[in-house]
Amino acid sequence: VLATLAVGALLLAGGIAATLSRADQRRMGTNDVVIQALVGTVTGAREICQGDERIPAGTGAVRVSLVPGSEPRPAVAVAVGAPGSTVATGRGHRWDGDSAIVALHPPVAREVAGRVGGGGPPPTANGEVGLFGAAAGSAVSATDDGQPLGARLRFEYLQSGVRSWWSFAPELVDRIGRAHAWSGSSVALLAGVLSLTSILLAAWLLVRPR
Amino acid sequence: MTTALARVPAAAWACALVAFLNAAAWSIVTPAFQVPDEQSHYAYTEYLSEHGRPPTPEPIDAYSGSQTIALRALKFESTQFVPANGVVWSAPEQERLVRDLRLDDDRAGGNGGAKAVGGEPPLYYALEALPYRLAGGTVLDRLALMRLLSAALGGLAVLFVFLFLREALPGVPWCWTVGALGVAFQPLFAFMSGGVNSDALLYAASAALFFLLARSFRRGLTPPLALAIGATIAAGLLTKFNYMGLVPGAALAMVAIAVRQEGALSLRALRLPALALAVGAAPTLLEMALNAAVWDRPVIGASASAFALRDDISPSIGGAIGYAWQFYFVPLPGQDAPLGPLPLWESWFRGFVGLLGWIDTEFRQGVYDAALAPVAAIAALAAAALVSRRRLLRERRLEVAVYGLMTVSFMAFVAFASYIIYVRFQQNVAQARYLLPLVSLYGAILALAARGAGARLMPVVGTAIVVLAIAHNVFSQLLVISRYYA
Repeated sequence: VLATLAVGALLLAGGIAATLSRADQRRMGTNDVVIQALVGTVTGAREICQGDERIPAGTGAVRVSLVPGSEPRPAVAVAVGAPGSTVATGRGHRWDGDSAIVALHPPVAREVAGRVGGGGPPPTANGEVGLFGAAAGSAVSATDDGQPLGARLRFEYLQSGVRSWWSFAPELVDRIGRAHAWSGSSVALLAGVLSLTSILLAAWLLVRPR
Repeated sequence: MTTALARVPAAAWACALVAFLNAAAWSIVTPAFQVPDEQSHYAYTEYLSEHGRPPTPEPIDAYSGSQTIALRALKFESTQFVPANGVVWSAPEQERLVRDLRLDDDRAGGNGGAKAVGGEPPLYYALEALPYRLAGGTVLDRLALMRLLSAALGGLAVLFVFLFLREALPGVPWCWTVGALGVAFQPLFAFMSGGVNSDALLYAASAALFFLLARSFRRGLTPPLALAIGATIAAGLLTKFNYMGLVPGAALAMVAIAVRQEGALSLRALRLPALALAVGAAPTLLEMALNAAVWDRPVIGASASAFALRDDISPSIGGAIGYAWQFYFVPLPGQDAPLGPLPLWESWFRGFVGLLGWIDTEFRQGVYDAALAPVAAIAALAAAALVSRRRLLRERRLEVAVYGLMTVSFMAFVAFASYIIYVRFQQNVAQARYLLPLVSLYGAILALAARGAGARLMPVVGTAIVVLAIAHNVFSQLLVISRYYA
């Protein structure tokens, strides 16, 4: 039993370590728009602008839900703006499935309550692209060259570069510590302690004298 | 009672503690209201606590001011069913949440999840009213303590699974621990036990019934056992309608045991089964009377639910039987596939391996494919154990038949209720959690698999089964963390 437990623990630890070592570009937030449909199609350099956005601190890139109408896929430009100023801009060719990922310069240092697009190079592409999002009233709708689209587009706000789960752990611990009865890193810590205690107790039950 | 508790092995309590701790961890990892129907179950408890009575079924759900604000601040609608969206991630969002939770302390304004669960019996919610009151404070304060009660019920269910295995498979005590720990670490079971949902008490009441029946088969049906079975049936029926699916098998078991004891089918033989069923039915009859006379609810709460038979639909017996088959297995030849091409795989196998959250949190497809190997190995080992003990199996065929009947009748009950919903709304509501009341039998399969490896390999295989369950549980928790927090 002990030998099997030891082998199992090693395999489990190895599996967890391998999983947590996988690197990816991590998300700082989304605008919570649920993609319901293709809400519009634009061709050429059009100005798409969407207000009422909260761009989290630490955002270094924006993922825009778009589908290109043709290959090669076009370049996409994005600007993040606060009232009266442009906070960050970017332009890029990087595509990931039905979305374009555009790096921002400089990364957003503090949370911005503002707009994505407008006030600079907007999220447009030089070529036909379809826009994904959800229907919305004209008061909060994205605009296409100033005209309401009747919809909001989905944006995801990403960190710069790729990170493993290990290096992302502090942010994860922070997030798990939110939206609970109490807040802080002790929330995640308690979950970990409970899980670990249950595993150790189970192991003891298996190896104790019968 | 104290003597009976003292006779419970320490290992059983320890397995229950393992289940409680694990479910408590799940209760923290899973964001508020991301357990299926948790918002409705919370609303029912709130209503019961604030009004001193269960809610009346209505065509819509209306939440209290405090819960409405909490759901909005927690981004419930944009997170439910949308794996691409997470919960509260940033410090400014958290500040807004904390501020919003204090905006409105109305707790009496809702209708208690009247549409989703308003017709359900009140026992689970009456129990949950205690932590609801004790916690005080915001919706999140109350929900956290309510979830811990569910976790404790998960522990209780595992305690009964252990005791069931002790009665049903008495040969090798170590295997009782294997089976009970396998259940404690089953991710769907632990996830559900970490949320506010009446399923938590349903699992405990179901596991208790399996234990008491196994004990009756082994030691005979005595008046205290009959009373205990009756009390368990009463608790189950006052928890969730689905429990009705276990009652026919339990009744048959008691009659069979009594006839075996008395040597013939006689009035005397039927006295203890009748006592158990009377005790089991009495609280439900009282609830029906209160529904009609005091609470202004339908006499049978289920008659107001979405799966009640009413004039607006025309279900058929043939349709129900065909649907039940397709609900669990594969489409019938020449028929449409109302539940997809392979429900056995899509809803039940994948659901059991891991469809968490609002059935919106899943592993990559390869994980489900890979899970076939250990599941097949465990099934083969359990079958080998049964084959090698076939003589014993023949001697206990009545008991085995009863467990089979309870399984079939429970599955049929769930399928027929789902059929009504399908006829009414053309919706498929199959979820693997609906079969977790049979979790005692899952524990028995795991215990049998350990024994099926033979005396020499049993410690290795039993330990491997528990390690596999732990790994399954850990990676399921990581899956949920990556879905909601990254």
